[in-house]
Amino acid sequence: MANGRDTREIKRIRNETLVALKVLYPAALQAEQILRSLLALFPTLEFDALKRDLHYLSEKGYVERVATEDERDKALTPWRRRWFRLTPLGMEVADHCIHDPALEE
Amino acid sequence: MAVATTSRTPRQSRPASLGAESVTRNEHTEFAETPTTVGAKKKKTSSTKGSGKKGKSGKRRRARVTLDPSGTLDTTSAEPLSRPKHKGDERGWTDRVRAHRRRQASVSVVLDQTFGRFAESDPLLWDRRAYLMLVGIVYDRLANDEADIPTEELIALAKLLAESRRADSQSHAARVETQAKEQCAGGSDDASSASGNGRLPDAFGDVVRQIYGTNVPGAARA
Repeated sequence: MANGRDTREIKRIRNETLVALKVLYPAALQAEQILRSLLALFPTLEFDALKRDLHYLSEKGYVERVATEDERDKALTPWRRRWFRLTPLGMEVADHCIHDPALEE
Repeated sequence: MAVATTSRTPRQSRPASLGAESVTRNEHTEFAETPTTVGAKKKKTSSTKGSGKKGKSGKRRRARVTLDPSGTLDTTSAEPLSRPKHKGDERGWTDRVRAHRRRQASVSVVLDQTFGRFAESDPLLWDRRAYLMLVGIVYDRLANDEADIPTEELIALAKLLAESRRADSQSHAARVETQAKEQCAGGSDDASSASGNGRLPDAFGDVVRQIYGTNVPGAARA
């Protein structure tokens, strides 16, 4: 359990994040838009929790940040306005071509 | 662009089947006419009350039982009492996910028809802010909002995208021209192939016509 969330919910949130980004692949979504999408399924989800999951998915190589041309300093862009898209590896996991026990219920 | 479907691994769809199994368990005991626990009996009456249609539940019962002829889903003494709350949660979750998937699938069809050609034509476009904004907002509004999409916002963004594409195309053409001049010794083939990469997608003229009501100058001449 992490931050009051049980394992099952954590996995579900991560899975749904991948599914939302898969719909748009190869385009991207802002963190704020991902949150809004997830709120339909997880009404109590908070942005900080999603931020952790985006970090996690990025470090696993499933999701990558897309810096747009007008972002001169990427670090200064607020988290909610950062863009994320699936990587090819993330796409394979979302399509269940690759199985990741950390994301399966 | 991939369409989001309900295709999930058997593991992920497990909650739904778990719910179904627990129904089968209770009904299995009913068929056997030897209910082993009080919990199973209670469950049976509540499910009959809930459905209100005996025939319907009978149909489902037969279908489920054929899936488990060996009777391996037999009930245990502890499970039926602890099941209902969990089962209800899982069913609620499965229904919510199913509805969400349906909506996402519809959105993906719209996005695919609208932006698919752009994504295919120029991968560099993925990084462009206008493109990202437009795709993101369309998804956000279609998948998450119950309210209508404000047309003005979409038109404004679509114009932004069209202008951005035109500017990109012009700057790319200028860059290619400069490169061609630099490689002037027999470099004409390279220049023409490079300019091919930067040209507007075939459907761009249609998009501009729909937004502005006019033709792209190049397309009109062609």
